[in-house]
Amino acid sequence: MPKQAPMNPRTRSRYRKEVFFKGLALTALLMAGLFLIWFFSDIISKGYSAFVQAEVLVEVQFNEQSSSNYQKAVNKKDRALVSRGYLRTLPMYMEAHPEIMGTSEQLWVVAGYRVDQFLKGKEHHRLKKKLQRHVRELEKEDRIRLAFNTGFFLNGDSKMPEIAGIKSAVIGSLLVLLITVLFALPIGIMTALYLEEFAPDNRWTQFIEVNINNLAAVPSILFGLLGLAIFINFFGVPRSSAIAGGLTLGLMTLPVIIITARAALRAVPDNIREAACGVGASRWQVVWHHVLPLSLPGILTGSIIGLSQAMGETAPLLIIGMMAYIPDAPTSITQAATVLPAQIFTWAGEPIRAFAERTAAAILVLLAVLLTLNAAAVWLRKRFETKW
Amino acid sequence: MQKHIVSSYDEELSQLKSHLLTMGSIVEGMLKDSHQALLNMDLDLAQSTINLDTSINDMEVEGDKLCMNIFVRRQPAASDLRFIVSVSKILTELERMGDLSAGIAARVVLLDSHPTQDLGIMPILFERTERQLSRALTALAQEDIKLAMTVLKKEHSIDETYRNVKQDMLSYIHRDASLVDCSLILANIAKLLERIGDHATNIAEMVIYFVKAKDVRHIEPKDVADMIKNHSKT
Amino acid sequence: MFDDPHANDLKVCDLNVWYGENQSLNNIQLDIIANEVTAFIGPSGCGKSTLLRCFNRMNDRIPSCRIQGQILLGEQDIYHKDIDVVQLRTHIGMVFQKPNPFPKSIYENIAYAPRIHGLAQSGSEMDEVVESALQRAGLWDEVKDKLHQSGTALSGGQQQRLCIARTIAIKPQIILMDEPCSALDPIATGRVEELMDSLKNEFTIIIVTHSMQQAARVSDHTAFFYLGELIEYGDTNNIFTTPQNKKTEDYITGRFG
Repeated sequence: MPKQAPMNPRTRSRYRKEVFFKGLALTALLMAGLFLIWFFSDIISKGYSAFVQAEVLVEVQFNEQSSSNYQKAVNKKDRALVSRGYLRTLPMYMEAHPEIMGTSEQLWVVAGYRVDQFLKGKEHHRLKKKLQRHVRELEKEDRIRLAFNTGFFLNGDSKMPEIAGIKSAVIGSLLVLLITVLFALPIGIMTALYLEEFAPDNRWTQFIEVNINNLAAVPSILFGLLGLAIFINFFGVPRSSAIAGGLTLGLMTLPVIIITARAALRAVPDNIREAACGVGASRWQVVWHHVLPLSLPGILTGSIIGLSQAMGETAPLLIIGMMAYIPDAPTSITQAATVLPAQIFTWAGEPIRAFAERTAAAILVLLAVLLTLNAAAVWLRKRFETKW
Repeated sequence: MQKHIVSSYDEELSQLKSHLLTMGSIVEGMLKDSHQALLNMDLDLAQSTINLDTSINDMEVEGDKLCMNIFVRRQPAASDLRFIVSVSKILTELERMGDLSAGIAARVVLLDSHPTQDLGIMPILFERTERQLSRALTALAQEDIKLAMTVLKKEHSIDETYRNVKQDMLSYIHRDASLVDCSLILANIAKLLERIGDHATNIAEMVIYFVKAKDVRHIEPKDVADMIKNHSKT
Repeated sequence: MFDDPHANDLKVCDLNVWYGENQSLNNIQLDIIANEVTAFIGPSGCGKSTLLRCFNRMNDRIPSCRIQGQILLGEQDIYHKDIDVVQLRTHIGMVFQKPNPFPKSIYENIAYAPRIHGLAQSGSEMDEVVESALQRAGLWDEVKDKLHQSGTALSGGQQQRLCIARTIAIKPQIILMDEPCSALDPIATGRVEELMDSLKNEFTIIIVTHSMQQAARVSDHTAFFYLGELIEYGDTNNIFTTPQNKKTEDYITGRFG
């Protein structure tokens, strides 16, 4: 190897600068990574315990007495441990199943939130000393356990944390998302198609373009006000309903969909349009047979990202009254509904500490859904990507 | 003419042209020398003229190579194409003229062993041929159409002079049988001169072709004048 | 619409074209001769591509483009208001500078246009159309075993011949080629040129090319454009040996200053 010439001072200072900037960039990346890890570990550590729930094995009496006063269904000693929310459902259950009247059954029933929190070793469980002792006894008899919390997914909201679940919020979210998709996707794609493929390039369309870009930057809460003014006050759409929420979020997502769809349309090379034109395809055929199929993966990816953004949105829904307490899942789009992020917001404000872990768990569910949506977007892009 | 965008192309073309003109001036010299050799019966001069023929042959080969290279590398078109095709032909014309001049010198050497006789109007034929060649070469050098036209028009005067010389020689033969050999050689020289004149005309025609883009071969000189007049570049 | 027997003749009368304020073609008069290859040459921006794109009204796609004058296909002015552009483009096909097959199968590339114009039913009839177009484009032997692979997977030269096959599948009278070989290597260029030679018995071909050698090789007539004007139009041999105009001369000898 030839002898190394001494490095030019300018070269050396250039190398030093490069190393410095590389280090700076790496540090930034590391910080971002650390924040992410911190965030996730915090949420997961807080939330995982909500996926299990304390249950007690008790003798449940189905008789006239307990049907008139549900407190009587369980003996006095165990009664204090059992969730009142559970006992409350017994009379209705008995009415539905008259054949069980007069019998009794050993059942694993949901325990009260104080028992639950005590069992999970959380502070501030405020369980009376006497009950604490009883729990210890039951533990020895294997009459108390932490079981998978199906109620969290199958129940609606409740003031009692042990029976509060995300079902109504999830269904609300699905309904809202459905409305958003049905409303924003066709309008967004058609608008993008018109602007990109058909509109003449004049002052008027430029004006529209600029405003669409501006709309994407408008704070989401303003869309809530817009939704309130247009859909609820003007069109008389029921307040707090999925349709009001869906339309409002659709309004908010529209610019995002239009912008990403236009970008996807623009990414289709012009020579494909020329090729189709050249063999005598009409304008509509050019778009329908060639441009749209080629840009569809891009359009869908953008739309999914826009929709997942809408799904995580809370502020505009606050304005149109979707921050409501909804114990029962809505069965139609005109019923009052809430959505996951709103549910998270409500629970986060609850004074009872047991709601904290449910809040974290709900966040985990929401994150999982959003990550799934984004993964679907990535998959779509990879799967249908066209090479030209 | 405007320069090419690629300047080395211009250099190659001018190199080709100067090669051609050098060759032309050597041939011109050979013709003059053979003339002098005949007038003075200078056998040394005749011999050196004969020797020059090989260098003319070499120059023809060299010139063809230059043309070929330009064809391969430049793919000449229009005026360049016509120029190079013409150059290639003029090279052949010059080489033939070199051969013919050497032929004259060789016949001068032959004459030496024979009784001399009156050359009659032979020197006039020489002069006319020399002037014709000189005009053709100047027309080539300066791309002078007028001069080239003059060459075309003067061709018949050389033919006429040649016929006169031939007539003279025939009459010598009739008069004196001892002059047969000598007269035949002189008639032969006249024939060679006439052919040099033809080649000079060919050169002039090529000049008109590459400058005016008109093929004037095998056309009467007066018609050529009309053709060129009708055609003017816009 | 275009069914008179002289429909192959393309005649340009007093054509002026503007892009916005810029006039890019100036009083063009030109008769394209049927069943020949006509080459348009000239420096960039001379209007040769613009004229080519006037022939199948591809310029309609550019909003700022304004056209005055006539282009007659047979007896019919193609800029007449009754002319259907889509119909026109089935009579005047086009091959572009960059090979642009649809990102679909080779078969589908050919079958698309005959299908949308109802020239052939799907099935064996369409198979025949596809095979014959590929045969005539000299591509059949190379692709017959992979008709259902993507057209974009072919080499550049094959893609361009696929585009030519796609164009001839709708049986136009005239094929416009906009620098069809500028993205191809010399061998692929040679194949396309050979193809043009064999196609000119059936079609009138107009080619815009930056390569004067190519114009000289493939065309029967050559038109030289400069600054939006038709400077010289004539037999290709004459244009390349004895051009009548000084500008033509300077351009084709490489003297353009």
